[in-house]
Amino acid sequence: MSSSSSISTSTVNGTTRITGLSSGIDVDSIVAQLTTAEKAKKLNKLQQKEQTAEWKQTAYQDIITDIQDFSSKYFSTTSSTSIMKASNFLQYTASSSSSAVTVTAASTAAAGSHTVAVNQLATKATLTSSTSISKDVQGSSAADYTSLTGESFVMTLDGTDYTVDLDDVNGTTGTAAITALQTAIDTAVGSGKVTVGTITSGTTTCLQFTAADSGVQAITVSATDTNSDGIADNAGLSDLGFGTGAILSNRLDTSDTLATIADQLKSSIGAATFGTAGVSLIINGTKEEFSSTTTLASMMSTINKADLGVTMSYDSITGELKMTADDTGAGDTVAVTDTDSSTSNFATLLLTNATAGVDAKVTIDGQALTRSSNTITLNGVTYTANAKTDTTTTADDGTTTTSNNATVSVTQNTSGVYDLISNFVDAYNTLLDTINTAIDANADSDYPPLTDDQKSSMTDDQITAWETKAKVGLLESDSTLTTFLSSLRTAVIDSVSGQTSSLSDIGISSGTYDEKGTLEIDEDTLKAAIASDPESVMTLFTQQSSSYPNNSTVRNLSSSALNTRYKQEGIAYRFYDILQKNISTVTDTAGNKGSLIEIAGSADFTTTTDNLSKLIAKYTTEIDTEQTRIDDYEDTLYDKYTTLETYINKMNSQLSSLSSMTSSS
Amino acid sequence: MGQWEKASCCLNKKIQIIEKIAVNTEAQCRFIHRREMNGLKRTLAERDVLIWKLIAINEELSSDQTWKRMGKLKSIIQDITHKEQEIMDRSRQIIQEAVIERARIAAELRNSKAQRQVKSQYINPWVIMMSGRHINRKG
Repeated sequence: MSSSSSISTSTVNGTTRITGLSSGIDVDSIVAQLTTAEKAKKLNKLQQKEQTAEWKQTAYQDIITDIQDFSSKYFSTTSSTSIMKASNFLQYTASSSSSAVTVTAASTAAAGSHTVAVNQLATKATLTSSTSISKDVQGSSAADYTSLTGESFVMTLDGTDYTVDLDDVNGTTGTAAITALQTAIDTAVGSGKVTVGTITSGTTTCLQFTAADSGVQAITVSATDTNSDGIADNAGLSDLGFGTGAILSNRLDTSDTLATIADQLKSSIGAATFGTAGVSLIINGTKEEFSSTTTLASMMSTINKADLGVTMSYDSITGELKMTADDTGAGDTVAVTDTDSSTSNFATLLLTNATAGVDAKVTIDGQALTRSSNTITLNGVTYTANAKTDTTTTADDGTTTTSNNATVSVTQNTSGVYDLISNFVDAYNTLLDTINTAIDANADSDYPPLTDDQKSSMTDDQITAWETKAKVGLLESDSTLTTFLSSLRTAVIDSVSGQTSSLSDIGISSGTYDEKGTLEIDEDTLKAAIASDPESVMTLFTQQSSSYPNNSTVRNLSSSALNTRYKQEGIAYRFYDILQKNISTVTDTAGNKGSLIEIAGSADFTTTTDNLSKLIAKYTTEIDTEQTRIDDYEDTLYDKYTTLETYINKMNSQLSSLSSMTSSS
Repeated sequence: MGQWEKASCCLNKKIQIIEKIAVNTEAQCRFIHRREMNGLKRTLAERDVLIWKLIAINEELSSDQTWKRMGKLKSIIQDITHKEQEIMDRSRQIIQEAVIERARIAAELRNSKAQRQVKSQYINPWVIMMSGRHINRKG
């Protein structure tokens, strides 16, 4: 036995602790007999149990999530793929012989053919300025042609930039200068597009650029960026008189204020008073007011968000201001006036051209229809008129035939219904495979969860590999999942009350025993069944209980009521009931949620009341208690060691005393 | 009282004290093995008192040592000497046992720490294994 001299004590915060325990003591023979290993084993076992419970909960929740996804997709009233919705089994495809009419068919449609004539399209009422409201591009001072050598400016026509070189304009005067500038612009943008003219403001004659071609709308001028540093620095434009106060564009900038806009209106429009007074309008009976500091963009945004039945816009191509009714159809749907035109004359000046909306006039199967909308639904078929249906066709012999009818065909969509059922069967089989895999997997007791001690001596890959094996078989032969699968298999096989055909009659049958209840589809048989009697196929799935038809109360039904309901239901509703029994978060008459939720909770449904959560909480408490107990145990050992150290010294001194007495006596 | 009676009385008292120390020594041994520090503390205090009494008797006996030559007391003196030696041997043995017990406690502590993967906070306060880490979606 070596001495313990290398063990030292230290006192921290009043607590004496031993350090150096890892060296200096030869206690290997003693350690084997100690009980501490057993105590640590207990802690490890608890941690392993807790880890197993958590893994098990996760395994359950993964399956619950799969079932929830399956339920949401095929058993939700809001899902387009729901097999509980009768309408999903009555699908029709509609087509039109003319692009003038587009069609869709709902489940309430019937197969057949229809003739449609669009005689008039419904339009929206508008109130517009009818022409561009802004001034042409014009300078604010007289042009100076004396120092234009090497200078230029940028002219933008409808979004395309052109650089106008002013070298040849340099040194010209009078009409020759106008001609030279016209030539320079024609050279840059093409001839016949922009006309150079002059406009006299007071005693100053300034240059003016106007559109020469009806196809040219927006004209903007700007200084050239000579050295391409992002700053327009060429003096050419300002030399031509386009400095401060010039109108650089014949279109408004909607980010300008109403005050600025008022100054930029064409003189032919008249004097605007709203530049100082602001704008006050009555729009379809509602007053809207804007100060002169409001931007045009902000004004339009406010009006468009106010649900006034109109949309205000500024067309930067045509330069027109417009109020358009939100809905098509006849009637005075755009009524905009100034609150007091003597104070503010925005509408009076700028919204002068009213066009009434008109109704659509359509003839379907000989029946004339007048509607405010271009979209008309009749007997489950929705017709959208895009254009008048007057069409002219030329035969091989040169004769022309004018027809104003479009032919609409509505046919049953067998493939759509087949796909609905086929996708459901695929999802069902996938779910069965997932659950069967989980309950058939054999757990390997050689792979318990690792302790921290074990993990510390393993690589990450080794830990992952181990834990992958440790997680296998957590749900082996699980009775709840086994019962769940059994219920689904039975629901598929049991005949539906009042129905002569079964799933197997329409081409859907269970596979072999080895396939564990998965379904197989005979495509030809199923498609034939859908084509010949779609309603029977629909009923087989969507028949509801006559005694207990309400899905929302299914969790409140007694077991006998549920049994009655089951017998009267189609397959989809049976499935719904089985799913609810297992994954519903609503408590039943006994106060329980779905069986699987009761066991494990749900990943997206926070609960601490499920069995596994409670078990995990119990283990956590036990682990805490055990850790506390070990802490206390260690503290006690520390105390005993320190005390014993003191007493050994005392014993030694007593022994010395006795020894001195015996030697002297 | 004659010298013989006086010496005999003192030696008998000494034997009684030595026997009490022997009993006390065995009690210490039990307390050490049972790790009952309060009991050990008490027996050490009692042993202190007994040692003081022994010192007093020894001083009384050493004031006149003619009794050592009295033949009648030879057997009792031998008995005392024998018992004293036994106590000395036993005390040394028990101190060794206490040292072993102390080593056992140290070993248990070390083992407990090792099992829990916790290093002494006074050696490396930053490396403390987090127990109960779980690998699941709850985080």
